[in-house]
Amino acid sequence: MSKTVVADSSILIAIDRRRKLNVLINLVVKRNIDLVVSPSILHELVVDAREASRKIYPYSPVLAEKLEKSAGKFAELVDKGIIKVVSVNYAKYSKLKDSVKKRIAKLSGKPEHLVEKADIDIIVLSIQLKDSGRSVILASDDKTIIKTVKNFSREIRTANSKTLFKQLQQAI
Amino acid sequence: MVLSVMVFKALSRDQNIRIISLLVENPGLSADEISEKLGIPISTTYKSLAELCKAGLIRYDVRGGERRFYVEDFRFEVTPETLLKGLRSVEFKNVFSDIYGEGKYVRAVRLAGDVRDGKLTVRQFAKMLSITYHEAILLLMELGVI
Repeated sequence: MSKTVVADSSILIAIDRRRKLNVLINLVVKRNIDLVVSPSILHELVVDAREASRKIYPYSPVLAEKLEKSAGKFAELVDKGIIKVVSVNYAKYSKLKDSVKKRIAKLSGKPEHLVEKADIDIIVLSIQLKDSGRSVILASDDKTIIKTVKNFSREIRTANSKTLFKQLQQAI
Repeated sequence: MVLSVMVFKALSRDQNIRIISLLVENPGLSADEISEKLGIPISTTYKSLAELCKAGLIRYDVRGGERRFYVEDFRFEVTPETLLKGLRSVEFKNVFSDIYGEGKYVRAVRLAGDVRDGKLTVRQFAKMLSITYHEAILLLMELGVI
């Protein structure tokens, strides 16, 4: 069974900030694990990072430079095919998408329009890949996302930036 | 030039000051020549040169396949305020307060509790504060939520 980690921006950014991104990359390459993000997550990792860098620069050039570097690193990993970008099949999963949106809105007690597309995408993408016969770990430091995915599938395993390495070292 | 923590660190090492002084008098030296003239091991010299370049205190060009180093024309105004600003700038929560003000920081800290309890996603947190996702992650990491 193909092994896949669907990664949220939160976990990739946190791991990069803790200077462990190379360890993660070596691990997924060595163990032949697919590291997957949705296009909306990729946008956050690269485009949003550069926007944040520009905003922060006048106040902290050091932090801004780190963000810019981080964006470059993620763009390079995608170019090299180490991070794979997979789109959500909205036609097939439109009902699930609505249910996930409702669930997050309910958990947060906020209106549905305040639920972000990337939050829905990461959960639907995990289920989509699980349905295609893969063994999936949804990796996120966002507790609400982890809570939500557990409502929709018990087969998808979850991890945060502290537990991911241990989980990847064990057989998926 | 911005007085940053990187600059403080680079200027706090004795050998870095010696390298700068040597380059002021002898611009265009190579790493080997610097190492020899100062009696510093070559590996330490490389490390110092990298640190000084990163801090923007020196630069290099390549001549004959060799890097030649020069001192940048830097000037700092050291006042209690510039020192404080330089030190504060590495902590994002300080940067956040500087950009958005104390009021928004207090609101962010309150909302961070909801993210910690799994009642709000990081993206909702970012949207409610009108900040980028990266700013949200940096702040939540420093607040110990992530």
